[in-house]
Amino acid sequence: MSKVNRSRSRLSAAWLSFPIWAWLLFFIFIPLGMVAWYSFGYKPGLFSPVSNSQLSLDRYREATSGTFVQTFWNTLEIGLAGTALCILIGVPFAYWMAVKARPEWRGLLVAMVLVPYWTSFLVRTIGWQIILAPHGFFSNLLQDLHLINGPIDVLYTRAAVQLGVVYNYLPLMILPMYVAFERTDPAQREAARDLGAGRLKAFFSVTLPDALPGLLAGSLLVFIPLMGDYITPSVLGGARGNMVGQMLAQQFESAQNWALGAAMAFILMGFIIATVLLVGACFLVLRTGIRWTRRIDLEGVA
Amino acid sequence: MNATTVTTKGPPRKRLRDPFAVLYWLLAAGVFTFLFAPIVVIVIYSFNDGRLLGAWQGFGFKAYHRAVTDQTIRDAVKISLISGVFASLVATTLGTIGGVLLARTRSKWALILTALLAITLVTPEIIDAVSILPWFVTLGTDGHLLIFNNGLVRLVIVHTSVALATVTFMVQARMAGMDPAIEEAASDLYASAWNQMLPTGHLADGSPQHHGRSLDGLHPEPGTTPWCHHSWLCLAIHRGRSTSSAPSVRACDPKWQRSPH
Repeated sequence: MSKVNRSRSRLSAAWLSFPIWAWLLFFIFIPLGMVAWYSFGYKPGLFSPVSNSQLSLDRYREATSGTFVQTFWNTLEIGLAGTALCILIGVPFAYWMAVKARPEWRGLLVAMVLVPYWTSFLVRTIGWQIILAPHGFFSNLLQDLHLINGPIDVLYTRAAVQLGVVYNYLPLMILPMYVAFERTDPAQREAARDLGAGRLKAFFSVTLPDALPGLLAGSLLVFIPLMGDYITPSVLGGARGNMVGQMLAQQFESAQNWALGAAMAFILMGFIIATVLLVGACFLVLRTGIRWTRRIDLEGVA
Repeated sequence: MNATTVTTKGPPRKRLRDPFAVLYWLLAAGVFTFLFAPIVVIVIYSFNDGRLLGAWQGFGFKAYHRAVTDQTIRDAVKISLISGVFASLVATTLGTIGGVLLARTRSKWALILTALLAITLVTPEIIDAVSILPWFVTLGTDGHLLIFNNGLVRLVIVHTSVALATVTFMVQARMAGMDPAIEEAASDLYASAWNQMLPTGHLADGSPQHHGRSLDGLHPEPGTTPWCHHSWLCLAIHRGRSTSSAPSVRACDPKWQRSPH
């Protein structure tokens, strides 16, 4: 009975999987493949976005030279600084949520992180536009308090983009860290303290290594969408805060140079995948390192 | 023995004033202010009667009046709602199929599917958007498949694609935590494959999750992606849902079996 059931379900599983394969192929990988093909082409004239009659790597060369490469570096700096800031703010905050705050509040605290995150990305970013406006209420308030001398000069600069991305992606650091910390064992922390470790030592040598997968997931969840962000630099960045996402969207929209835009898209994607692999490798090395040093410690004790 | 030492030690230590507690409270207050500031500002400025967003010109409901009477805005809201609902439906359906498959089969195809979905996760949304544009043009204009010229259809397709990996991995995470014996019991009790799925609440997990973010897009769920073993969103949603879910659903749920709080 169960054998028949199982073989039948395996057969129907093969059929069931058809829609998702079809969707992936037809709406994600064929389009990506087309763009990959375009990236070897060129823009033949004013009214045509792409032609592949001559294949070359020139678009990749073009995308990695001059002003474009500057934007790539800007994006990378914003991405790394943004991820670092999210770690600095998000890790202690998540630790407080998961360990220090009263257990009956935790559900509410998670909800309070999720609600801003679920609010439209664009609307929140426009909220920052109002706050940072040089003649807005915040600027006036700071001037009335004599904290600054002139109107704040942040909007439409890189600083505004930096603030915006930290704001927009912070929940993606807090939530995985929260779950990771919540799963750490309080008894281990107590044991560490009883064995004479200070507060910080207990955190860095017991709790944080335990929560390392959360840190890794959080970093990737922040870094990946941040690198391709289009909305934040468009709303807050202006001419002084350009990012790659805007640049490649421009090639597909106003500039109508699909070949160049495609090359940029693949450079960005290759870069992101390389980063993911690099971070994964670092994680493995770190974990092996931690395990290795601990093993020696234990042997010494034994 | 152990338990008693912990309980006698616990309370007095807690009663001591923790110098770090103040720092934590400051941090928490700062982070929540930071997270809510632009939202509060937007809500307040929605009552601004001035023509410019940032320049306050007095309190009023002009913006709301315009929002409900202006035909363009009403159409835009309608399109957002419709595309959100349909993208949720399609993504949840496809993602549920994918998630169940990934949780229940261990073939090389399941690995390939995971890898492909992971690629869609690390693809920035802007690349999804720019890559699908020429494809829609090809299908609609060159291929004469007129349905792909419809903006609403395009929106539903792109949002589904962006959410697909998320929903799949979420459903997979939940399914992986569920005892297959429950499904076997259901099939022994003559439930069809579809009926076995329904009462366990996996759909309820994936769907609102995606719907809330349909317009924003990418919402990765690290539960089962190679770099992490946690499923934070399932947990978060679960917490919100657990109070309202029927006891029978709780009983099926591995999280309730593991942690009774």
